[in-house]
Amino acid sequence: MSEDGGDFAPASDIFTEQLPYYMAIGMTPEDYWDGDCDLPIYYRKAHALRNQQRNQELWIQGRYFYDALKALAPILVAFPKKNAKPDKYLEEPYPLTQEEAAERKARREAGKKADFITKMNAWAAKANALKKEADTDG
Amino acid sequence: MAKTIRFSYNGKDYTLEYTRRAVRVVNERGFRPDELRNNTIVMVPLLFSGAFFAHHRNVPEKEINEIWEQMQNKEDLLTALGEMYSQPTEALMDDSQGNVSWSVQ
Repeated sequence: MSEDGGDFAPASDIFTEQLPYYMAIGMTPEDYWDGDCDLPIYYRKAHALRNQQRNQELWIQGRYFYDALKALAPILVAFPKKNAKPDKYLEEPYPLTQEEAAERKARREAGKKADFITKMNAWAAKANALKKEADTDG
Repeated sequence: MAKTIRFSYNGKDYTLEYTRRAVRVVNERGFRPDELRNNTIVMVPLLFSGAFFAHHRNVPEKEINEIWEQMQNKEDLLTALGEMYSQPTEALMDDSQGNVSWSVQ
């Protein structure tokens, strides 16, 4: 009790009470007791960021489960259609950054362009062969 | 980051700081922040000496008292020591969840 009769709770009681929480989020007892006294602020922020990251990872994992089940849906029925086959699963992971998404888009565009050129070359080769055959017959 | 007080005395550099362990030690020695103004004779030396614990644990009490006598601006020094003593406790408070803003008029 203080001189005015109020109740005094030493700060050290609060420190002891909070220690398990900060150890649970990765702080060592040495840092807690003897380190910079503002460290708990940054440990809390880091813990919140880790939780956000983990939540994002779990959400993405849910999407992969969903995609896998969706691909299997044609055959996951009591009476599947004759010759039913599962759909193709995702060919590659979801892009997680804007850079990955841009790189993937550029790669697909380049692939489409290469396919188009291949088809055009095949068409040109076929047209030339037909023309040559016509010239020979003529 | 933690507030510190730095000075030189008799050719030696000192850094005063309150860690959570220093707060616990000074509480065990009898320091009570609510009695600082009413019992200055006892509480002020405790508050000042407690700030030595983090980096200068082995400085004798006699030398700490000598240093106190030589310190300038004792009123401001006491205010700074009070803030340093409170900082370890304040760092444990998470007020990010509140939604009431306020201002000093």
